[in-house]
Amino acid sequence: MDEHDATTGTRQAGEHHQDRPAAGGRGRPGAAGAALAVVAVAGTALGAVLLRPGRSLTARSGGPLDNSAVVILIALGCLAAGVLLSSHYRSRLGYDQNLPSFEQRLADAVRVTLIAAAVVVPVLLLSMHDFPSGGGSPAPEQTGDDDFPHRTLPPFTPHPGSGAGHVPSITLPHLLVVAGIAVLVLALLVAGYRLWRQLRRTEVPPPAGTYRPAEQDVLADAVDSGRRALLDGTDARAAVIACYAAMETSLAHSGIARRASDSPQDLLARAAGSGLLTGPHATDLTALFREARYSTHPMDGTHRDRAAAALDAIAAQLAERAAAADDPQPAADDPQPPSDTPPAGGTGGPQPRAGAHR
Amino acid sequence: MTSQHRTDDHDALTPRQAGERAAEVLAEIRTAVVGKPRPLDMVMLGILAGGHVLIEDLPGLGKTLLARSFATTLGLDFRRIQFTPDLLPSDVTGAPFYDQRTAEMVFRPGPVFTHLLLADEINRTPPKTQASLLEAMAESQVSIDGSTRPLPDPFVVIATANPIEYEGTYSLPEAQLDRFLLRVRMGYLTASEETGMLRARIARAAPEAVLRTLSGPKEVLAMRAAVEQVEVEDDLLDYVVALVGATRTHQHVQVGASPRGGLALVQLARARAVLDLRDYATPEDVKDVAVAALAHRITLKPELWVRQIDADDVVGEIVQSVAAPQTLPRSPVAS
Repeated sequence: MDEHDATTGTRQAGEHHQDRPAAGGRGRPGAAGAALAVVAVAGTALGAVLLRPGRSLTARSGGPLDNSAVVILIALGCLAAGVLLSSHYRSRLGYDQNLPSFEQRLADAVRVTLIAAAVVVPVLLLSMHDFPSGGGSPAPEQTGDDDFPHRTLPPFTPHPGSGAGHVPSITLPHLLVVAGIAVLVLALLVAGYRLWRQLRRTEVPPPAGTYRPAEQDVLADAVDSGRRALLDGTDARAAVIACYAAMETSLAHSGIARRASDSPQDLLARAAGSGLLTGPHATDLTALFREARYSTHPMDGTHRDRAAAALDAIAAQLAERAAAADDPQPAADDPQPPSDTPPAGGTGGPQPRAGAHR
Repeated sequence: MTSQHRTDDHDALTPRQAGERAAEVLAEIRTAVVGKPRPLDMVMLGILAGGHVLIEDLPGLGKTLLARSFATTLGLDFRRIQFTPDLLPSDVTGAPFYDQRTAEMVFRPGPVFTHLLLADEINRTPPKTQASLLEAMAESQVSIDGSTRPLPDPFVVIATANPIEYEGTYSLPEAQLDRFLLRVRMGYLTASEETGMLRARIARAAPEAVLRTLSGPKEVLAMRAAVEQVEVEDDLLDYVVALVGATRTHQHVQVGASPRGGLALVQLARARAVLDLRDYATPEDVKDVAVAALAHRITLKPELWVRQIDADDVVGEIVQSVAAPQTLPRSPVAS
């Protein structure tokens, strides 16, 4: 289900950007930014939890960084990540050398910084780590923590394989910490996965054969919402008003939001500005709404039928245009898999059909 | 007369009937006044709403022709006053004179005693004479020598003013401008419209077109009564109040619109609904007439004169910024 939603959302986003000639095939920057923010926050929180002192805030060290193997692994990871990041950055800039002078200098500085960071960070990490000199496990006395009485008890001999002076008891704070770490790890994985998907999608150009005006889907959704409102309504006036309100909500969700100062005619004119809703039906529906909203004279089933007929006509008009837009699709060379190129009205949203609400 | 016959048959009109009659009148006037649909509609709105109209524009744009065409087509008694610097109030309202045969003072009515008065270049006469007319406009009556004489009903003043000339003119004070229900600007014709006007002049072989009389004073009153039947929803009244209030708080406005401006806006919106054959007003009606109803009622800050910003621009901006009624009503309505 998530896969389907993400695919649909990305397809619509791509269509929106197709309307703008300067925009490339980028995905939704808001979703990528949110995923990146979650990765950063959850990663930082996870690091802070893992690196907490454990014994006291004034302790010299603590956490997994006491282990030399972990430090070496982190250093190697930093080196690999730095090299990968640097190469990726160079590959992205490789085809765009005609930058202005300031941006060119900035790109050079970033490139050098990435290379330097890939080397310097692991070196600093290794050089600042206090490796054990004898090769054995660190002695308890090295902590300098003399406040713990159990460390001064000579009769007690620890178990050879445990490495601890006592069997740790599982308490509620321990469980909460473990649960928190698990949640953070889960959030980190999910956000990372979504970020990875977003970043991968930006590199896939939208197929040329699947171009459809974004407004067409928008209006198809709106018509479907209005049809549902007509079905639900028991009172003719309320049904017509709810029908128009549902259309307005759908339009707003799809980017054609009603401005505060807009009259119904203003909103419809903007939605139909692309020429999708030609003819008298949209005007008729707007007139019906105005009558339902601002008059007090009786309204009956006739008005509801007129609204339904107008909706039918709008739906038929949109379906006709969708069919006309999809006609050249088989002839186009379409190398993309079917999951990325949904047919019109398939997974891309409700497809209007005339007379469906009756 | 055809118009008199129709009037007797239609003592009461529904908003739809009134709108249809008004449309017929407008169609007839358009045969004489070429290419001015918007000003014609606005003047008709002013007449339907029971107010007076100020036409402000340059000379030669058809202001007098427009007023005379309305008078002829609506079947109203028509008088014209050409305002000059030496015009006296008694020249407008009339004055008593001594009748030697009866040895009594007899009142001779002035040109204000008519149905439709064209006050041409009203800003060329001193304030005293202006005030005499504006008092008649507000009260629909004239008080002379201690006696009050009512003016004919309907009484409509269509005043014209030249906004460019300042030499030898007396600008109308804001309080007197407020008496006009709306202000209309004519504007120049487009090239094709101007060509059409010239061709129509050649075709009719006469200086002016001859218009039919399609209505009469009683029917005008019936049309005004039909406007009173138009419903205005509560949210729409709040919208009108918000628009008028916004003129008082706008950064460019020194003095905002008066409550009379709100009344004018509501009445014009109702008349607009009648012209659209509706018995209910909508936000579109209010937005359509807002500039005409409010722009002449506000006083801009003096520094805006340098920036070439006029009141029409400011009211237009207010209309584009004030929130219109929401889609869903505040209280549920039943069919």
